[in-house]
Amino acid sequence: MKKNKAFLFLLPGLVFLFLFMIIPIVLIIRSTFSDQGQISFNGYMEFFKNKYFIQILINTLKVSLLTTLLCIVISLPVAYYIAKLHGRIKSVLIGLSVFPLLTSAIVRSFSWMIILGKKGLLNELLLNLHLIKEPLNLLYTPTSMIIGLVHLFLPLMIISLVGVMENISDDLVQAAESLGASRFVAFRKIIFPLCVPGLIIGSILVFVGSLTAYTTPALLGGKEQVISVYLYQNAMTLNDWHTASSVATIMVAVTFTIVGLMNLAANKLNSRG
Amino acid sequence: MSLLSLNDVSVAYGPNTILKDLNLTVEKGELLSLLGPSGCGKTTTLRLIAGFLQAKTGQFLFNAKDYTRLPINKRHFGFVFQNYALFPHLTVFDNIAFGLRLRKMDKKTIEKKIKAILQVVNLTGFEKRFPAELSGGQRQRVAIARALVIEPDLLLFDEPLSNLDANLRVTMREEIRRIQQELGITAIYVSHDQEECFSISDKVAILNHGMIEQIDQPKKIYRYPKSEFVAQFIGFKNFITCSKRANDGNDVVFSTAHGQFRTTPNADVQSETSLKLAIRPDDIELCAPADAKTAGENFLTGQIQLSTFLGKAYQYKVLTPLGVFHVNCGSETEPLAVGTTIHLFFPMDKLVNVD
Ligand SMILES: Nc1ncnc2c1ncn2[C@@H]1O[C@H](COP(=O)(O)OP(=O)(O)OP(=O)(O)O)[C@@H](O)[C@H]1O
Ligand SMILES: [Mg+2]
Repeated sequence: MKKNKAFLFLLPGLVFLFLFMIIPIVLIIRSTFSDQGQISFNGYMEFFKNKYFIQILINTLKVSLLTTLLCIVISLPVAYYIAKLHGRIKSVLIGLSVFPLLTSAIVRSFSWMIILGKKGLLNELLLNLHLIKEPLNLLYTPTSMIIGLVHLFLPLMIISLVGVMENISDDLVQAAESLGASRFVAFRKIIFPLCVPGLIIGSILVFVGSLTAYTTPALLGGKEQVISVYLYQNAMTLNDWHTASSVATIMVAVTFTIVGLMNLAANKLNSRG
Repeated sequence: MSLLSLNDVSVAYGPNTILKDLNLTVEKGELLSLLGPSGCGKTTTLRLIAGFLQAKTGQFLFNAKDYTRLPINKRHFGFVFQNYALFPHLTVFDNIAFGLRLRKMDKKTIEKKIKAILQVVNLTGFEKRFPAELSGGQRQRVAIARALVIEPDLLLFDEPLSNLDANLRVTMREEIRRIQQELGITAIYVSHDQEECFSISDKVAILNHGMIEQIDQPKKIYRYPKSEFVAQFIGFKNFITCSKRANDGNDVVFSTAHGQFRTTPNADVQSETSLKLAIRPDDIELCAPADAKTAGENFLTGQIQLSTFLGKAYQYKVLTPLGVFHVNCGSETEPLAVGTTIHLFFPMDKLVNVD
């Protein structure tokens, strides 16, 4: 088939995206720059003067960043282990690691409530072991929110890393070792740099996912709000669509900035080969 | 005392024993080749020496020290991989510097050493390139430089030339030999190309199913293969199974139902009862029926069944009462037609008794 004809196959998808995604986003963004029919930046000016909002924005970025870092640290060894396996056990382990994505966010969050609550499993255990005297305040804090988010997004990081690690030949590690590197040094100097592409993709997925996640922060986070919950409250509870739209626009802008920065970093660190 | 010795080493992958009670010694400054068909355990032997694999039983001594359980990074051996295994994210310079930096050398020394080694492998000016920006031959030389620059106690090559074209292969093998001799490095070289092994080695070990069939100088193996397997592997295509042997002065005379064959004894053949003779297609001569040089011995008559043009020669498949023989004849003369009756002469000094 000719190349220019093959382009037609893209059409249904493009039309769908254009009608139901591009247009609404453009409409929302446009609405935030107008005040009674006139172009204005007042909405945004007010936002960035608002200490409360800035605090939420910083909170959100902090939570997303921590979630991403935790996912990286946990995923690296797990992904390396899985990537070196073969056959059925590998599929089983990949299946298991994807499992959190397949369960409902609400069910997942409720299970964490049972575990992390004042009278939850974890506190009971620690109390019984006499490791703590008072029950810890875990639920409805940034900690519980991050735990929930890491649980949710770990699979994305693992899968991205397994993807790149599978293609790193064992010979490279052995070559490094024969040149005098210990296992750990070989991992740090050879495997890790070669994982960067997967690391970037995984980080983008996890970071953007955490930034925009709603259910998990809403159920597990306490008074310390994140931006998606704030957006929801403005739109649904306060019925303030103008503010909600501005928040949405800011989220889109932040997301694009982060993705852009990460791509930049990827190009800098990118391995040749 | 040899520099390296493997004593009764066995290696197994799960239930499959790959190496059985292998014994091997290498002297200092020597280049030993491991030659054998695919799957015979050459790579396994090399990986065992490098430490990538653990022996199930047996002992590996190096410089009179027990290396059997020594970790890879403590062995100080250089390994050149079949696929080079260059680090794709590092430049030529950084690839070669990898081992030096781990040895905590200062920048000046590292730069000096790399400059020197790049000169040895003829790659000066390529420091800033990435492996993906090099040709196969250049990558291979980087791999050698990376292994050499740490001045290893032993250099291991796993079919380093198998991905290169025929011409480059010849140039590179001469290069490897030159570098090895120039620096006086002890090396073990794996290949399944017999010409390659014979041309660069001090000693060749022929492997078959994880066991060494014969280990000797190339010219001795070439002339006196010990067993039928070795003979077959290095190009003896013709075998005669005899029924009786008898000593006649310094010679041995073998009898068959269709004539006698005289040859000198093969010192490497162990059994005094071996009844097998081998000869290369190039070494059989055509002769007239009542030629004086045959004296009624080392002589067979047969019909040409098939004629193949090999370039430098015609190869005839000749059916004789003792079976099929392959004979090469110079391509200057007109080829003989299929069906022609010809007489084959087996020169005594080319006919070898094998196990
Ligand atoms: N990781 C492994 N697991 C199981 N069996 C293996 C493994 N690696 C090699 N083998 C088996 O061990 C035997 C020897 O393999 P080895 O790689 O040493 O052969 P080789 O002589 O290097 O062959 P080639 O010339 O094809 O490279 C083969 O029969 C192979 O199937
Ligand atoms: Mg091999």
